[in-house]
Amino acid sequence: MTDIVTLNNISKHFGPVIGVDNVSLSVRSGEFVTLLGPSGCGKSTLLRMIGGFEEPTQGSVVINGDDVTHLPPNKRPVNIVFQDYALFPHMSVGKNVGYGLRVGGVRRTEVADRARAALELVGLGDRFDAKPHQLSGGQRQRVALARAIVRRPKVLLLDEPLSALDANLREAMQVELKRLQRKVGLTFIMVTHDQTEALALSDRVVVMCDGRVVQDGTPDTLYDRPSSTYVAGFIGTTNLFQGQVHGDTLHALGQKLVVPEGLAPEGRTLTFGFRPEKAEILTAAVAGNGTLPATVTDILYHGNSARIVVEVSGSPLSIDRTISDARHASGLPDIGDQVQIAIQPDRIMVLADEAAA
Amino acid sequence: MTLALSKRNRLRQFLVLSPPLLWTVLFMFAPYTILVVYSFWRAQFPLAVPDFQFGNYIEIFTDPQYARVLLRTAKIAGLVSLLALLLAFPYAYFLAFKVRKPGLRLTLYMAVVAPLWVSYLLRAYTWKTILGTEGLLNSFLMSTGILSEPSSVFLYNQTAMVVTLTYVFIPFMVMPIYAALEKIPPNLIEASGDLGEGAIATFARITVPLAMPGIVAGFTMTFCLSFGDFISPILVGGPDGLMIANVIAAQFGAALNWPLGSALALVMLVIVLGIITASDRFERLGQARLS
Amino acid sequence: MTALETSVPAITAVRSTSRKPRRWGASLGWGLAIGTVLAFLYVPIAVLVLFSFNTSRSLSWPMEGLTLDWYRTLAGNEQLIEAVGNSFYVATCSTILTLLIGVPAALALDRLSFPGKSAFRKLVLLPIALPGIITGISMLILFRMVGFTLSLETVIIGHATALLAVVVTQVYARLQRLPRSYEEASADLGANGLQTFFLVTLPNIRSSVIGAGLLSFTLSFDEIPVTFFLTGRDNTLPMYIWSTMRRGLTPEINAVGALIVAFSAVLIVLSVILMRDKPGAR
Repeated sequence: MTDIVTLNNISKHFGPVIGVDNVSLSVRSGEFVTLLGPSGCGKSTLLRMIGGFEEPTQGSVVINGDDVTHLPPNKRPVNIVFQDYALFPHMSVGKNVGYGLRVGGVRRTEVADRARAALELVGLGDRFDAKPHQLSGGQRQRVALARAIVRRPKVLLLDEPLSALDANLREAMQVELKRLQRKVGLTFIMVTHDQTEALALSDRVVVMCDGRVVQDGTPDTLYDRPSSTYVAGFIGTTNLFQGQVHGDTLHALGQKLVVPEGLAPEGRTLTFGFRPEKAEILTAAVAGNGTLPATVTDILYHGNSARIVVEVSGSPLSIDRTISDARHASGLPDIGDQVQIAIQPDRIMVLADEAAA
Repeated sequence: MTLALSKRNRLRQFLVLSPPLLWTVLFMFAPYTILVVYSFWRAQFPLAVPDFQFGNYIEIFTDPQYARVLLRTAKIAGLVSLLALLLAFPYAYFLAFKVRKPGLRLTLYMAVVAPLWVSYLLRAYTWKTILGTEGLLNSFLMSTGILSEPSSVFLYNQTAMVVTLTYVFIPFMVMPIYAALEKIPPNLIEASGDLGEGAIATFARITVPLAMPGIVAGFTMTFCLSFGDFISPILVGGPDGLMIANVIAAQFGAALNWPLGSALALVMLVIVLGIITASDRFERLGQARLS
Repeated sequence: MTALETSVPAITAVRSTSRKPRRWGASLGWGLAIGTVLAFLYVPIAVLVLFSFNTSRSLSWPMEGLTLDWYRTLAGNEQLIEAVGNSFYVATCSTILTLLIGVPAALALDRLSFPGKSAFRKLVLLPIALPGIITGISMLILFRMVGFTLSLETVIIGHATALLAVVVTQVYARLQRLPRSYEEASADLGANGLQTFFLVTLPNIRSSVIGAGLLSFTLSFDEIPVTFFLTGRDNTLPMYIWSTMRRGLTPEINAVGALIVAFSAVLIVLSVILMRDKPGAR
């Protein structure tokens, strides 16, 4: 596992605006890395600097051991799938896919063969002569993929590759992307603002905010151990509250919660949180040590699960309950019910938060 | 941005930019500059001698005949723009809001634009044949008995020029107004109707203000083009119909006073640029208000 | 006049509650308004063409009879034929030249940032609103100063300069609608600048380049104000017509006019067909 892409202290300024602020990042060969963040966080700019469409104001880009910071896109061993796919409208699908080979001086017959092979890889072998406008959104996406991998780049860049597709198709394409990555064994760097997409596809997720990296880790680390309220809020739903730890007790929400000892520095007011599915709703009768008395205020039914919104000492908390065949929706509490909430002690997260620190 | 550009970018820029840049410097910037320089020279046989004196400008601003020509030119250009607006606005409005079929809309639009492709000279000339003493209008009026003998009142006067110039330049009025009206979402006008506004109120309070950039652009175009015309005054204008461009042309022809002609051309240029700048300002103001 | 009178019932009908008469009255009013404009635009052209077939030398109504004599006279008019040839030469050269300069200029204005860009833009677009006479005389003085002899070539330079704005505006408008990702994708796939331009950019702005070319050709073919000052002894067609016209009106001019109208019509149809965007092309 060697590093295929290394970014050293990259910054990009657009006039007075700082797009990317001193980012360093390494991507290992074969890894699927996702840059995640809201629009304007600099993730696309970072990707475009790897692709060669923007030049960093500071820092360097190293790909496959070569410093490519000042090389144009056509001199870099990377290819990109654009958000709008950028399929050339005046060329057939086959010509689009073969374009990179054709301008690279590959023989005509070989261009056609390799383009066809790439199209077959994405399941579109029969649309070689079609024009891009005759294809569906999902098919266009696959053509863009085929076009980008046909040159066998060291790294494939994907700029919001699924955002133009509708929800059902997006899920199917997620599977497809993952399958394709395994098959061709390429390094993928993807940009997205969609956290489910990032968690589902990536080996590693880099969360960005205001041009900086705020957390870099595997999907489960990000989900279970977000480093800040920003990350916690961006990935999944989190119930946040302030509190203080004394020994194995967390004083929060006007109650006492049981937590592992040494969870957080003694006596400091910090932000804590837990995921909605890491708590259980118990009947009011089974109140025990560390459970919280609550009132049900809303129930959102999702089919295989339900989100139950409760109020604890005036603060709303969300709690998810899966609904299996055995336990039907009828097993849910009613609005207005008095219940007890039990949070799994080892699932309580401590969030580094400048505001609370 | 420009500071961060690397070498390859600069080279590519240079390759793309150098032909047009060279051309504009050689054949636009240089001639305009020389025109300015020349306007300070003195006319002397065989043509002119270098000098720096304001004689040409003093002559333009003290001899009342130049002021008269300029005012007449402005009056005619203004009337042309007004007449073109009166004809073009309903047409553009009809195209934008009343025609439902895209095919018909394209046809009607092309019907206005197409004459631009037909020789300007011939379009002006045909009015000479229509309005002349032996022309179509006279023959027609005589054959219907309205006139007993051919009249010469139609041709060789300012009215004939206004009609001819309107005819020639009306496409430049229709195009921008249509473009502006087309951008108005029909539901905006419907919404105004829903809010209880009458058709006339909607028109005055929604349609016209939103069409204003187009109207101003069309007015500017038509005015400037008419202002600089020197063909139709010769074809259909009378002795009182000379415009500023004719006076300039004369300085480069029979009168052979190039420096004076240059000074006159610069006065014209300043007027035209002033109008264009004012109209630009107006348009930008309108955009700022909308956004 | 008639349009005004009939639009009065249309306005009163708006106030009545019944919808049918209002629609009927309004559409009559619109019909007349549109009819007036179309008549204003096309009756003169029809007159121009019609009188080219008139047997009489005078252009008066009613026509005495139909003849093709005037076209026959044209065919034997050597000066005229030479002028037509000159015009084709000038229009072709100036169109090619203005495209060669105008397309890169539009590219530079849309895709590049460089110092002095806004001054460059202003300068390039100036002739579109500037009276042709100013371009004509300023270039006349320039050529005189550097000692160029006036000829068809100086006319070509003048036309190419005056028409630059037409090409730049049309191509620039198309470029603005062209997603930059096409060019980025091309570069990403290994194409150099020239490959990208010829394989991706140009095919996608093709319609606007052809349209601008056809329009430039027509405008150059028809140009007087610049030609007037920059031509030497050779006449272009409009200059020839112009000098004939000043001597007097003859149906011969109408015959030339009718041919030009026919030629223009062909060009218009051609440009509409060529400029129609292909399906799927954004």
